[in-house]
Amino acid sequence: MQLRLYVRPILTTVFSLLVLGIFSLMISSCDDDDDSDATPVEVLVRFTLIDPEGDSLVIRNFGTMEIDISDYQLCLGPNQYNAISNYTDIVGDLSLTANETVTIKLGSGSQNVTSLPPESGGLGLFASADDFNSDDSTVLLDYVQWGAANQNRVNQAVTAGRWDDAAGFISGFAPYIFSGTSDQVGGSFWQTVAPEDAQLKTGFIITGRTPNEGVIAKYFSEMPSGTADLTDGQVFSTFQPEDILDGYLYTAGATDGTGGVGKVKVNGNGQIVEDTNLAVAGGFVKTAIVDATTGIVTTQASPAQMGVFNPITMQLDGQITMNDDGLPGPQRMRGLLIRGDEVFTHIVSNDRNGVPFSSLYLQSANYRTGQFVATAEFPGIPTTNWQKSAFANNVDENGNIYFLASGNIPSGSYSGTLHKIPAGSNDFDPTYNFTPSLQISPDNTLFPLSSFFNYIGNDIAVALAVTNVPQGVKDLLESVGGDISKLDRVQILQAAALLSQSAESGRWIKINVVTQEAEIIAGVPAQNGFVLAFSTVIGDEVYLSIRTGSENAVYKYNPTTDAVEKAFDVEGGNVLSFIDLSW
Amino acid sequence: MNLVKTILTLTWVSVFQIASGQENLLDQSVSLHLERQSVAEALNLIMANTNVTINYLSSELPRERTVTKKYYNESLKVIIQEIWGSDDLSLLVEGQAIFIKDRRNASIRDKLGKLTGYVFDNEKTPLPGALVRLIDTDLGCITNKEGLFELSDIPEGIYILEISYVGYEKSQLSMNIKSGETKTFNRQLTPSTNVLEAVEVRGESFTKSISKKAIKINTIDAKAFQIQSVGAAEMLRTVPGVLVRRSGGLGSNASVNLNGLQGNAVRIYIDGFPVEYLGGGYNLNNLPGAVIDRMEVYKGVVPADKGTDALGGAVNIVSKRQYNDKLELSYQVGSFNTHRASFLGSKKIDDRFAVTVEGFHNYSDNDFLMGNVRNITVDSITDRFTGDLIPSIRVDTLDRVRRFHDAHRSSFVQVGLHWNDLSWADRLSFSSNFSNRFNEVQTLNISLGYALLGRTGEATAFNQGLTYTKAFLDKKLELKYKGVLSNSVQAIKNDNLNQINWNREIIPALRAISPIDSETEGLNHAHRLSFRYNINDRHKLSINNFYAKSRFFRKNNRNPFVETDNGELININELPSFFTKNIASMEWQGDWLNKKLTSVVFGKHYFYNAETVARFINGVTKVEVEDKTTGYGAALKYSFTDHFFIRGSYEYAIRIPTEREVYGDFENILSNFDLRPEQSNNVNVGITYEKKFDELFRVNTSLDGFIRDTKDLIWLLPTGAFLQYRNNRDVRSLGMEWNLKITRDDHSNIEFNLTSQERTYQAFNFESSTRQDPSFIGSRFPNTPSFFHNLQLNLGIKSLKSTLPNVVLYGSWFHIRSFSINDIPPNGEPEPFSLVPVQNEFNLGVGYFPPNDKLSLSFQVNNLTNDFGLFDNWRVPKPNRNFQFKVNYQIF
Repeated sequence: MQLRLYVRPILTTVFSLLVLGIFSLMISSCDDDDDSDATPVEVLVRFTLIDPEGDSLVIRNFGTMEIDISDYQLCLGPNQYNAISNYTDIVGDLSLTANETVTIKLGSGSQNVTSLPPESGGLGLFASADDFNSDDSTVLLDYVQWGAANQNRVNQAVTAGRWDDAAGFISGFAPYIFSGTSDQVGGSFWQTVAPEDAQLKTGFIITGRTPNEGVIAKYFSEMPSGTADLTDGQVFSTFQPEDILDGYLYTAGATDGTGGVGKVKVNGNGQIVEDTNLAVAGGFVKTAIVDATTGIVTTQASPAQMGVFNPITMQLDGQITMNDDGLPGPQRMRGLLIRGDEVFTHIVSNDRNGVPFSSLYLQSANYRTGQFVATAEFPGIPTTNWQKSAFANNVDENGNIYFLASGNIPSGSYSGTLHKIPAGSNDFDPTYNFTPSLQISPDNTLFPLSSFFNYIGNDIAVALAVTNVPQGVKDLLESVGGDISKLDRVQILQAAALLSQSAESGRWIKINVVTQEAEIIAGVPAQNGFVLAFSTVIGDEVYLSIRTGSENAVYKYNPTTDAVEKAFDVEGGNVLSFIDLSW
Repeated sequence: MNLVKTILTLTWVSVFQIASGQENLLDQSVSLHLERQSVAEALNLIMANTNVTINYLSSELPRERTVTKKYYNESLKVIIQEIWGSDDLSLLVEGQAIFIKDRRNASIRDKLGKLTGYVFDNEKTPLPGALVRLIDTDLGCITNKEGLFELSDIPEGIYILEISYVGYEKSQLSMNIKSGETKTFNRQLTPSTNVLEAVEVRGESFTKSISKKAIKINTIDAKAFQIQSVGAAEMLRTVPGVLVRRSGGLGSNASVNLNGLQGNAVRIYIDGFPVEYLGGGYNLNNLPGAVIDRMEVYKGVVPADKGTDALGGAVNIVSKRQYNDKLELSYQVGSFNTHRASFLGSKKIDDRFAVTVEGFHNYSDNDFLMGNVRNITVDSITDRFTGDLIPSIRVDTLDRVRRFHDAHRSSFVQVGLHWNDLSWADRLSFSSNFSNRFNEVQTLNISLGYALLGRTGEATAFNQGLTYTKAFLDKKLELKYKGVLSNSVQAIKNDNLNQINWNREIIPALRAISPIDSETEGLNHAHRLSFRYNINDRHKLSINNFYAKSRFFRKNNRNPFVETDNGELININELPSFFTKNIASMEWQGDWLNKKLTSVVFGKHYFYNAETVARFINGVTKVEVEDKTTGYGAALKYSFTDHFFIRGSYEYAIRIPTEREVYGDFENILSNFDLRPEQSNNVNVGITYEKKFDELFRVNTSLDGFIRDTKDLIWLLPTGAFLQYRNNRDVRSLGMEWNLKITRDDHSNIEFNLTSQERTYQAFNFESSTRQDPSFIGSRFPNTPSFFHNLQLNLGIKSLKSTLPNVVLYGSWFHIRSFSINDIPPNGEPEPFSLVPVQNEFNLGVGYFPPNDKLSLSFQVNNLTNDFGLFDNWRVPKPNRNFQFKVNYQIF
């Protein structure tokens, strides 16, 4: 009986314990679930595009929850990091919903990661700025390495599972585009651009004239030295760059000789190719690019209207109608310059008899509002063209515009005079009328011409001036007793022909636009004063073209120190232009 | 040393021959030892020691005379004279035979007669080289290039005259020759077959004989193309080394690329006169084949009596001439609404006077299809400033578009009066013609995707021509004069300045189009005077002078009133400009070594004067410039056999600058008063061989090389703010061409021409602002094909009921290797858009000659494969596949 008394409690206890154990297990499982709710959700924010050539990137939210990435950090290495919110050139919202992307253009705003190294680099995306040495995947959210192995922070990325191998990297032409899923990392999940589709945004282009009036052009990845050999370059019917934006050159006319505005790039093979072009009505195209949203184009067929277009899409989307009030006859626009929100254009006569205006005219319009602003007139300066280097600058640091009227002998304009539109004004300073060539060479009374003006900075500009008078011209003058007014028209044409064929009638000169003083740039050889020339500013140096009987070269001039040296010779064509793609 | 010796020998021989005026056979050196031989014995001895036959009248033989003398390398002439004992002998040479006539025997001389006359074919074309002989005598001769023969010293009697010429029926006629009488006898030969017109004239036709001259002349016998639907341009392109570059369809501008040179360097003549002096009514691209007799292509070297200032050669189009009763009609109809009609008639009034009339009319819409053409369309977009709709342009590429507003119309009529055998003129012709050419100007640049709608060009000319020839001094001296007086008006009008796309929609003006109508009135007179003196049968000297003066008014609808230097207000449209050219030349042609060697030496003197009233922006002024220079040349030909010869020629050729090149346009182009004429050292060498397997089947082949070393090429160059023509560059063309022709019979042949040439930059003249980097020296000159060939095929076949061929199949294949229209980087490749792709053009036709041989019909297909990748000059598209039907009918 006693046994029966103990068995029942024992069985009951065992059963109870068994039930409790099972229940405990069940409870335990529920606790685990509850624990997962308590830990942070994994952030699936990844780079999907890296473009070291264009200094831009795209970030995508692969998760399901909306995430604000404003405080996320881009890090290229020690002391090279910035919060994303510091960038101002952003397309999209920094609070990313599921599958949403945002495009960030570096170089904007205030930060110390302004560009991505085009050759090689490693870019990390950190959740905060607390610990850039972290290899915690919750801190180091993504990582991309290109160009070379073992970039900064790649080992952290491998430990964190954000990159597959420290020795692995993306190789090819940018932009790099992510092709994997949210959990796939490493170079094999990034696509590169085929060389022919890629765009190089750094380097240089040199162009030269071919015998049949075509243009030979060649890309150089580094600043040329010694001799720049164009002989294996490309020959185009026309190649006349007018402006540059983001490595794209905007040319007057397409490169196959047809009209419009060409948008030209250098592809991954170093070839100069036309990306697209803007068809516009009319020839004699001039264009200026303001920014990524606004380009301006003028043509002879629309002599009183400027076209406004988008330089990215190359679509025309506006026009500005100029006012011809106050002009003596039908007008035509020749050349553009930008000051602030205003575009200025040189106005010449569109008269069918070819009679030039007797005054110099510049008109201005506001390209933001599309409104005509004003007509500036400087009396007594007939001009028919504007001899201007591509990319030359006419506006000083204060907003003063300097305009060198080149003169045109057949039209009766025999002097090259410099004029000024003061900052804040849209009309000429009537007291500013300066003839640089005559100051340098007072006996050059017949043709004191100057052209190819380029304002460098700190009140200094350069130009090419006729400084030496050939003996034949002197003889002609002497035959009429030195009285220019007694030269008949044939003699004037003969003098012009003598000058245009004279080997050493011109020099590059330095002009102080404030003091109105001009001087020859010593050390740069003399050349013909009528030669098609250019000056180009790269860094602190001014690059000046030289074409003589023995030289086809580019010289380097420092306007601060007045130091001069030959930068490089050119072989393969009369040098026409020297362009820095990174402008 | 051998070369020096050869030159000295040739010089000595030439001096001797000119001085003696004797035949070459008579110059043959003979060594002879005579010991009291009679004259007959002595002459027999000469014949025994040489291969010469000596003929004489036995009645004239000085029988009493004996001769004792030793001759060492003495000429046959001297020996015969000494043996005969008189230098008053007439020594005639025919082949290896010498005929001795003693002039002292007046009684005998008076008993001799003379026979002369012309031999020609049924179209009155002279037959040079025809054999004329009196049967059963040793008297005979060969007709000269005018078809003239002359037999003299014929003893009185009755003879049978026989005239034979390969390819023609032999003619025999009995005639009585009387003493002291000169009998004139003209004879027309009948072709040996009358079923087909001669596709190739067998024997030595005139066209073929001139192709064998020392100065290389390619001749095109228009008869070979008579049945085909072709014009002058199509004929010309069959010549090796020749490219005809056109800018569209029928009537469009055409220029000739000859051994690499093109444009002003190659002159086009019509009947020996530069076409620029004929008023612009007709040109290379609208002359129908039916009015052409032949075309002569002078490559690099132009004979003194033909040349003007042709730097790289010339093409002379010789119009068809006939003086008997005849009227031929031709009509061609084809694709693109093309119609070409021509007529050629002549009436022989009497033996000395004939009237001719000829003319043609062309019309074509030229609306052929083109492939892959840019097209501009206009969209509307929203203005970012106003929100209004504004036009925006879009460029597309269309697979196929049809040209329009490209019609051509041209008309020509000419009346001629012709006299011959007048006492004061061997030949006198007066002709008067009227021509009109009208073109719709369809587009300025076909690659731009738009066209002009309202521009037209028209030229009208009224020309009078005078030709006079007369021989003097027993035909030793020939005088020829030809003059042209031309009144012309050439106008460009703009009735509608709208520009339209290929869908014929009006679009905004893509290029500024000059609204200026212009008109040029020209009054030209040009004269060519030639004297040719036949020193003897083997040496000729000619002196020529070409003089031309143009007076023209250039008018446009700009404000014509301008101020002179004196402040006077004048109407510039009423002020003429003048351009004068004078080219004097002298040429000496000699035959040597029994006519195996022919030499030509010539010199030319060029003079020009240009005078104009030039417009400046603010007034006008009178400008005048003149210059003179000299050129020269020489040619040699050596015949190993009648069918195998080599030849070479050289000319230092000159091209005079044009008025525009000197004066500029007084707006953007500066004048250049120091401009020099272009010069070119032109060299041709070649070898020609013909193998005759029988009278019909033969093979001709020739291989020629050429050099055109052109200096001071005039080029329009930018010089800073201006443009100016400069003597800027030297260019060299170096090439070879090969021709092979296999002739099966009169109606079947195959001809293949191949040309390979390199035209390259050689130097760039340093002239300060136009300095050209020398890297391009050696690279190819643009827009010049470097390799091309063509194949021509004619096959005569018999129809079922015919015993002779009366159907001819003909075809052609033109191939041009890809070339660039832009400069090519010295060490790089041309850009794809500047490349003209490989061109293969196939044409096929069939001609039928019904039993009535007055009628012929033909049908042909051009661009058989309908290749839309065929282009002409500067990538202008060629017409797509088209069909042409042509009928020729000879009324009487």
